Amino acid sequence: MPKSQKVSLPRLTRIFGGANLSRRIGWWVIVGSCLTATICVIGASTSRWSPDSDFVAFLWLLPVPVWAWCGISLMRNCRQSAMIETELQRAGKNDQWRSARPLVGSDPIVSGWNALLEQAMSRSEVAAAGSASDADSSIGNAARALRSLPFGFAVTDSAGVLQSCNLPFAVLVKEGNSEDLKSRDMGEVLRLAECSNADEVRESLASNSRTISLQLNYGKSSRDGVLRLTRNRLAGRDGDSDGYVFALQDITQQVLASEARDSFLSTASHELRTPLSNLKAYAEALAIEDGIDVEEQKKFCNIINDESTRLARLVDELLAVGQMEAGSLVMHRSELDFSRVLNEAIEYVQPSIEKKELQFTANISPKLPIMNGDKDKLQAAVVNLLGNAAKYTPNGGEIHLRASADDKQLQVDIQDTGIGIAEEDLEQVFNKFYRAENDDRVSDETGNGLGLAFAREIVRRHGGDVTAESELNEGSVFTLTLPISADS
Amino acid sequence: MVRPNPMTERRVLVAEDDPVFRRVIAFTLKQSGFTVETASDGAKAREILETSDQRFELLVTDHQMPRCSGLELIEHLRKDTAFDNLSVVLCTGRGLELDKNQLKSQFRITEIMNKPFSPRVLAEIVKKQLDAEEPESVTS
Repeated sequence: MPKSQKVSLPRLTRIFGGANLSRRIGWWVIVGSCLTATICVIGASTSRWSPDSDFVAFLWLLPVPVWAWCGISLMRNCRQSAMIETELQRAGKNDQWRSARPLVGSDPIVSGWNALLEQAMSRSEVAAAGSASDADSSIGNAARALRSLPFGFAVTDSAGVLQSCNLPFAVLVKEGNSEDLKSRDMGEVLRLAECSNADEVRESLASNSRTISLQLNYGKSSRDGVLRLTRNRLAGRDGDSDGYVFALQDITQQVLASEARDSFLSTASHELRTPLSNLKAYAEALAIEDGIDVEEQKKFCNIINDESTRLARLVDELLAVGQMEAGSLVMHRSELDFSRVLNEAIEYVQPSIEKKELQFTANISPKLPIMNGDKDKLQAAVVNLLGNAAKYTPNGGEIHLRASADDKQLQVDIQDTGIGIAEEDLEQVFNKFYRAENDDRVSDETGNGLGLAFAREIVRRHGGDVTAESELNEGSVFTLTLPISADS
Repeated sequence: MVRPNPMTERRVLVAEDDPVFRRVIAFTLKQSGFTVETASDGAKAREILETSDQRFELLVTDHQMPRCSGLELIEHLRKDTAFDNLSVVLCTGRGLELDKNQLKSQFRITEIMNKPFSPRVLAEIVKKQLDAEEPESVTS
């Protein structure tokens, strides 16, 4: 900041001028003209008093220095204003006000100028500094956010040609590198040719809607992949600009889960209706029909009893599954004799075994320990395993149950000569709702895909596990192990 | 129980995989005077219909059965003109998913019953259908 020369204002001017430059100028003119007038009068009058022409000439010349002195004082006075005028002239051009400089001085004009300048400077500094760093950090944050979000983003021009995209987007459209996608048509990038609903998608994309939200169904079933696509117009400074921004998200798991749940509900309701309709039919027969002999009546009543039990077990299983889903399955532990559990389970499955004329052997070691556990649930788990063996073994096949224990654990093997499980299904059979539906022989049977998940969950809660080995078309062995000091 | 008169015997075939339900349907239909034979799946039912020397007048079939479903069975039978006089009743636990009217007209199904239903109601429907077909026959 260049220092202006300090101007010492004559005290006289302070008295005259005060705050206002115009007043000062006014006073100087008045002073100057008064002095001049006085001198002239004196000059005119002294010419009468003194015939000295030199003195007269001196008097006539005196106004000159008087006025000169007034002029110079004025100029000094106006110096700050002149400087301000210079600054304004310089800085007012072409938006260069930032280059205006403050001045040194204590008179009101200079102080005012300095104050104004200070305010303007500080505000614009703050604003500039603020917006620069704000912009920096918000751009940085946005870029980081885009990289971290699991969604795919892509920007295209108004013709649908891709301009840029992030890595998740490239991954979702099965391209390793976001660079490779540039300048390609969006329809091709999204591999619409592989979508079962391609026509619908193309129609939506061709429309001019501001916002589009749709599902891309790849392949023939939900397992082949489902993506959710949304498209919005790119935001410009005022309103929309040319181009679109796409967001892509993988929703395959959600769609599969919801389909599995729907399929479960429909199977469950069907399974419930069967014993219900039997109960109703037999009760009605007993009530309405005449001439049923006592033997037959007794048989009917037994059937009603059995079907009620069947229904009760089914309801328990459904409730347990519901609890498993909600994470609130509770074990009611007590002392139990596992050989009893096995025998009762076998008894329960006996009718299914006989119906298919399967050969069944049970080799239960007499030394099975007394253990701690939830009898009903463990029995249900064994019934599940035996029931599966019976269900998936064709007529005339074999089922062998072996149970033994050492001091560490109890082991039960259930082996069948059934249809077996393919390797790719073997790792998944224990998943909830999973059924190896690719095998026709499996989809021909009714089942809700929960038996194995349920059985394994129960056994695991007791500290054990259920595992499976199988050979497709040859048979399977399911092994259940439980620790002896079941303290889980 | 009304004993069927061999002269006016009305033969009904019941195809149902659940033995418990099969039994009570057969029982109720017999109580109404029909001669009942049973099959545990669609394939067996077809076999019985095709090889039996006695004519069946009505088929009661469940929908979900192993090896051959009820609809598959009906579809097959309707293609064969030998069974043009065979009336059909379909029972299903999945009633809400099927378009009943369309199926009934497409396969000439007399009635589609939703499980659970009362076997007595089924017997009434069967009786009504067979009475309508042969109004001149005498029931004892």
